[in-house]
Amino acid sequence: MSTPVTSAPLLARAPDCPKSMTYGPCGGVNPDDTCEVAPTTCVFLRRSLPVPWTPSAAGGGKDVATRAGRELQAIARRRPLVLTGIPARAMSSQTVAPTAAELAGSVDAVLSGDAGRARVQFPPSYRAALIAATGLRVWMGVTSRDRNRTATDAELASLAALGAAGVHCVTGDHTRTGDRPDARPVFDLESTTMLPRARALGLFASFAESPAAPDVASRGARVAQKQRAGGQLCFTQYAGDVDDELAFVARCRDAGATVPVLPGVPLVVDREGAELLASFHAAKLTTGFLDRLFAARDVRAEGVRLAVAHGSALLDSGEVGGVVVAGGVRRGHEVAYATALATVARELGGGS
Amino acid sequence: MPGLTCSFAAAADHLRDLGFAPELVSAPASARESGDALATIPRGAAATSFAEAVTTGGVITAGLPVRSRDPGLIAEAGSRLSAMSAVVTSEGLGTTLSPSHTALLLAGTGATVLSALTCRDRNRVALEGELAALADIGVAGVLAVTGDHSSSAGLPGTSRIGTTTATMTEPVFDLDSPRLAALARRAGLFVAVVERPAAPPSSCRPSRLALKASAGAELVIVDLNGDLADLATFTDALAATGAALPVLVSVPVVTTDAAAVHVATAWAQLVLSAPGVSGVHLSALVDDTDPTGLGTQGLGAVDVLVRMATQLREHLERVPPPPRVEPAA
Repeated sequence: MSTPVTSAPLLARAPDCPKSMTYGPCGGVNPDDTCEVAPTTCVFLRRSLPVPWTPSAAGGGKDVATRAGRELQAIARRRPLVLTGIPARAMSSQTVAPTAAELAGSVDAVLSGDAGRARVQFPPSYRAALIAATGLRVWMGVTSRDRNRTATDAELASLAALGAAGVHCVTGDHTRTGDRPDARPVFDLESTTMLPRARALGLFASFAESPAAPDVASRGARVAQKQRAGGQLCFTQYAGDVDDELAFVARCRDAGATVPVLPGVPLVVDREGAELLASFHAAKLTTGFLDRLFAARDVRAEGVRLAVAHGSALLDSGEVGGVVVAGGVRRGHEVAYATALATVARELGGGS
Repeated sequence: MPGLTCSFAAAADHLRDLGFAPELVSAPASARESGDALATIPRGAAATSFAEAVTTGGVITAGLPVRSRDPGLIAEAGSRLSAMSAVVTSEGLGTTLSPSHTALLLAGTGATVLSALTCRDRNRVALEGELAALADIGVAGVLAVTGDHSSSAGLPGTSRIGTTTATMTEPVFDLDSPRLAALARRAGLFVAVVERPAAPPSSCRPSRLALKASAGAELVIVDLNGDLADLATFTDALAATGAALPVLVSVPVVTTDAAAVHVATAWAQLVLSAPGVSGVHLSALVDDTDPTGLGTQGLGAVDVLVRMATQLREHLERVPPPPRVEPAA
């Protein structure tokens, strides 16, 4: 290059963050403060937190424009929302309809997200098209790891045009976690910068938070910043016992965040599912969860019972806006797992 | 990028020595157990019949001239363009629906679809997922494009100072067109690529195409910017590589100007009769800065392209395309 070029304006991005984030720390901070993909302390833990969100030209808070999104808003006004995962196999359109059929009538919407062992998935818009065709409301996960803003904007525009109930805007795990470390990490956007772009298209927008990841004390304030950026619902990573979840909600409220919090409720019906769940990076499970599961004669029935008990305790507190029931599934057992999800969702009031 | 000399132009000998190995797109060992990779998918019916059309010759494709996020408008355009040999989508202009959604809409109208995918906007796992979706939808194939760097693509909010800024889309370039072509073939899709013969180092363009062909490309859409003599020079050079790809010549059309349409149609007729050419690709020059964004111009452009194609097919009935010269074994 003939002349060195200095880029003046930007560089609110943390130069040493492997995801070059602006609004960290992400959920991938280990309990000892190290990064999920580096042995060094997360660069954001040396800074004053939370990083305040700075309004940008892109996007703005439009009202929810899709019919499915408005229906969910109406449900949320009268009772807590009950979302579940959809255990369709990655890149298999044939497994969508049979799993959706099990969930129909029991869930308010299904969340289709990311997995460390399935980085290669149909693109969000195509998954949304497949799921919406079954009649289920779809809450679609979009990660900033694999697409830059141009490709992400096209996905979001299609989600709006396809009538998705909502979009879960996540930064995403680094590519060096999971089975495809060969892929280049993109992170042009991150959760906080994707939210206003989704809102500008009239999408109902959620974001994730990991209550148990350092810095625990400022996670509630980080939620407040994501709310300022346009986030309307907060889905949490598994954060331990009900009291831990409620302590997190209290930290959100103390920081001025008013968005409904929907904790994750793990559902496990077999050993493989438990192993997958334990592999989720920032996941912290209920005390004794796996021990009780494996001590049970009927693992499946015990898994359903534990999920219903956990979900009921959360909903009975009156502090949460709903729950997201999900977990790992053994290959080939997707439909049976969907049946279990539907059972738990129905018990928690979903679909009513 | 201004001020930057292309490394490949500076070392043209290196370019001739480049080869393509299938391992370049194989998933790592970590993905073996989970199968977290694009599977090998048998060639679909649409890909097979488009490949046959290319072999026959006299192919007439059209770029989708609609820049809109209105699904109804895209579907209407697809329906009107369904008699084309294929509709070729474009990518990365900032005002489009997603590639898979666009393909779903177009394929639903019965159109034969070649979906453009650029390497600029997605990493390899996202590209693998896109290809799996396109194969699942049943499109004929892809146009595998490396893509323009964000600093030269003219996207809204981009600058030309030679580095990314806060408002510029991040250029990804995890893969390039040859590797994307190889992945697309794994997905059972027909693979087209683009080439600009006049772009420096121009003498290397035919061997670069041979590299793309060895990676899996089956057709090249050529952005000629020249006359019949330039075309003959290029097709001769391509044939000499021993891996001659069938050539479609891109014919740009200012669809809002009747005289320009007439000139473009006459040029397309000449090209269709040229030796070593398998067809033409009609490319409407659409005003991307159209502030209305309504795409009404787009449907107007669609109709112009359809009329041109009808005239060209009538021409082909009077003057059949020359037999394709198979590359020497």
